[in-house]
Amino acid sequence: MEHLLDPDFGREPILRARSLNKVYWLGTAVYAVSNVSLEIRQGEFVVIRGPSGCGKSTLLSLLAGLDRPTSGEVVLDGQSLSGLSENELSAVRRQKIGMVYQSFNLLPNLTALENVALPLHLSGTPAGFAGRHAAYLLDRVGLSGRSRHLPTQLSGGEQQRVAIARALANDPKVLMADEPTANLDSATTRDIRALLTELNRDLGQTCVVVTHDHSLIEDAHRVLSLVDGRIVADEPGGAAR
Amino acid sequence: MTLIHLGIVNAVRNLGRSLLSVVAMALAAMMMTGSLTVAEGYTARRAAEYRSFLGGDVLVYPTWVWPTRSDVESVVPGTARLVTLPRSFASPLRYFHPDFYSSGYLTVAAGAPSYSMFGSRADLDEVREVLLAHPEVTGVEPYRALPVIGGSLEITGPDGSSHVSLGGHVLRSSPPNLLSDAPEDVPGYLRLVPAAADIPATVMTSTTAGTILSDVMNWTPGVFVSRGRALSSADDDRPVAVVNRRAVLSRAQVRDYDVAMGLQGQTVRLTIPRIVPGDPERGTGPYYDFSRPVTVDISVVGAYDVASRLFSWNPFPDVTYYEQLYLEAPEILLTPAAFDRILQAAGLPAGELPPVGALAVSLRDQSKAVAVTEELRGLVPSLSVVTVAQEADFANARNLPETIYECPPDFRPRPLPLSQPAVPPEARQFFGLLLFGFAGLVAAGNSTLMILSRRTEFAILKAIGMRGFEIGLVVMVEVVTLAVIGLVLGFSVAEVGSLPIILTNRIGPAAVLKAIGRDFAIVASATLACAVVFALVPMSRTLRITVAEAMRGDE
Repeated sequence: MEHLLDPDFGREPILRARSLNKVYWLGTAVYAVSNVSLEIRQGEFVVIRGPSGCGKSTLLSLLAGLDRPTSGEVVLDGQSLSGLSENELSAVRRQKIGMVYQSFNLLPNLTALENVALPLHLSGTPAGFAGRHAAYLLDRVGLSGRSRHLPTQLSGGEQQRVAIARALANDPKVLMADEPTANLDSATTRDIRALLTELNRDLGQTCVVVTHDHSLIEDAHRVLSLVDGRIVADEPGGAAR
Repeated sequence: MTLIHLGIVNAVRNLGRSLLSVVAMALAAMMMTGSLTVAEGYTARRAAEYRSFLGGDVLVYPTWVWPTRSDVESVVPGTARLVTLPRSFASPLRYFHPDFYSSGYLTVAAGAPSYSMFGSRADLDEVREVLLAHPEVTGVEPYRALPVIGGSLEITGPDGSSHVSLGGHVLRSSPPNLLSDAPEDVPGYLRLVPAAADIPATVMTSTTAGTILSDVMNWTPGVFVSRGRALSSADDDRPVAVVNRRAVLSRAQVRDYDVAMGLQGQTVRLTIPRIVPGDPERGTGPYYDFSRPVTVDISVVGAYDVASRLFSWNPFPDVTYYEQLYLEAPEILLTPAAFDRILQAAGLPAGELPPVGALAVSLRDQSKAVAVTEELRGLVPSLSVVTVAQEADFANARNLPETIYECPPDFRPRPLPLSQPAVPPEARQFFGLLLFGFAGLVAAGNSTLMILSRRTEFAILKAIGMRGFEIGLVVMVEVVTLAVIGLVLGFSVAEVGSLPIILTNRIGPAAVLKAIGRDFAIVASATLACAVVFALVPMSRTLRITVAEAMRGDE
């Protein structure tokens, strides 16, 4: 925990979890997430790793307000997510969280530009500005020439870039990614890794990434290791060393 | 606008899914429209030939014809008796329920009517007033007829002339719709139909389906003038009449168009029973006195045929034979005024109770016939109220009321037993409802599947911050857009398919447009309601679960 006191990170925690538990009842209580407490500061690049089925994605879902904990609390940007309705949680996600998934999860009927612009439209951004900003973000992820393509017309890496651009659309407090490179080849993985690192380094974007990818661990400030739903290690990543 | 745009984009860009949805909705709309318009068209045309001939859509009989279960249950044990109608009682019952005149029927009435179904003029007027008070009833026409004891009609043919006996016929007051100058408010399908021109004596036409075997096919069911001329209100002042060609000519003569009937005013002397006026002091109504008959002269100016259903059978696989059936009702029709004069000549004072065998009730809207009939039953509980269409259905199921000549007995459907049915069957309504319900299920199933198969998509929308009602709006735009396209397509196709039926109803453009408008409103409401409700219900359930659950469940 030494690094948390590092003056380089002298910023307030943007994301806090206190005693998080997620229990599934499958005849007996199965703890997908067990008594997890953590703090993530603004500008941190945090990687959550662990073996398959250890609860990484569940923890990420809890932190993003995509799922509700059985007990415990998540506080994002000073706002507790406990007790919020589904619509209120949607508003929080819209304004403060950008999500990137392993399977990209782009809307298949929308072009790359429309996918990126949609969160902006939902936030009430004027159409003209939303379009321009979405185009800027696509340019930022290196896809300016593919903005009119549907997801099915894009490669996996391109789809993931669109997903990242969409996640960034509303300038989120935290960018969360669930196995963002798992479905990609090594070259594309390198590109996505570079993109995430660049976003964190250049823009100060807080990133929480669930991954098995060791190269991403190298870029992280912190690495949280999860086993059976518990954080068993909280260590500095490659970027902090 | 973003949400509406997104809904439309979803519908437009996902062509495969949208096409399936449109086809499902079109199918549902087609089935619904079919169940409505075909039923309505058929209702307007249903038994039109019988209704035209009888002068109304609903018949009111003096006794139980279709006793309801409550009628039967209300009978005090021992009070119902088996009685037989006398031959002198002229009523449509003789066509639809001939067994009432032979085997008899069960009734709680004191006795069988022999002159009129009413005891007095006041009774007739009271019942008419009660029926006319119903908003759907446009007219009540008494079926007025009296029996002919004797008389003959001369016919000439290649083999010379001969006389056909008119004994057993009835003299009947023609319903106004069968006059050539029928009132304007009479719908087209109840008027005289044009006779087919240049009909050969026997039609035997080979078609790909086999041989059409028909005896003088008319193709348009209804009453048509086959010889001479029709009656008109100009005949009120003279005793002119028309006869049923099928009732006076033999089967061979009917086929032979060289047989002349001398219908340019052949005078026929008829013997009819004397009518003894009722005695109010003794409480008796008029009755026939057959021991002192009266003779009247009428001038026969034309003959009519009542072309009814087309009967078909399959003597061999893939070969269908058709036979045009005719109602061989032995009725000599006169104008109402001329009939009144005959009654007076028979001894009935003006204003006295005429011989009434039934009441023919005309309705405003055919599609409500069954419901209105139920209501009329409640208004006149002592009488039997039956739609002509129901009567026709029941009679047809017993191979009645027309004589079948061509179809060998082995190929005729097994007839229903001759009995009073306990409950009026209305199977068509049930099947119409069934079809409508099935169509609703198709629409509902389509909507439900459309939602359930998209949990991940909704989860993505929620993950990027779309709220539940916003997702709902997007989906509703898509569902309603596709439903409307499917609805318009399905309705149009079904309506085009129904056109032959609707047009042959000859109910007039205004009525057709009104029916189409009403059908569209019903089909649109039903399909859209099914589509929206069965999209909303699964969607609200889907949106209640968390994003993580939705994504997990879909994987």
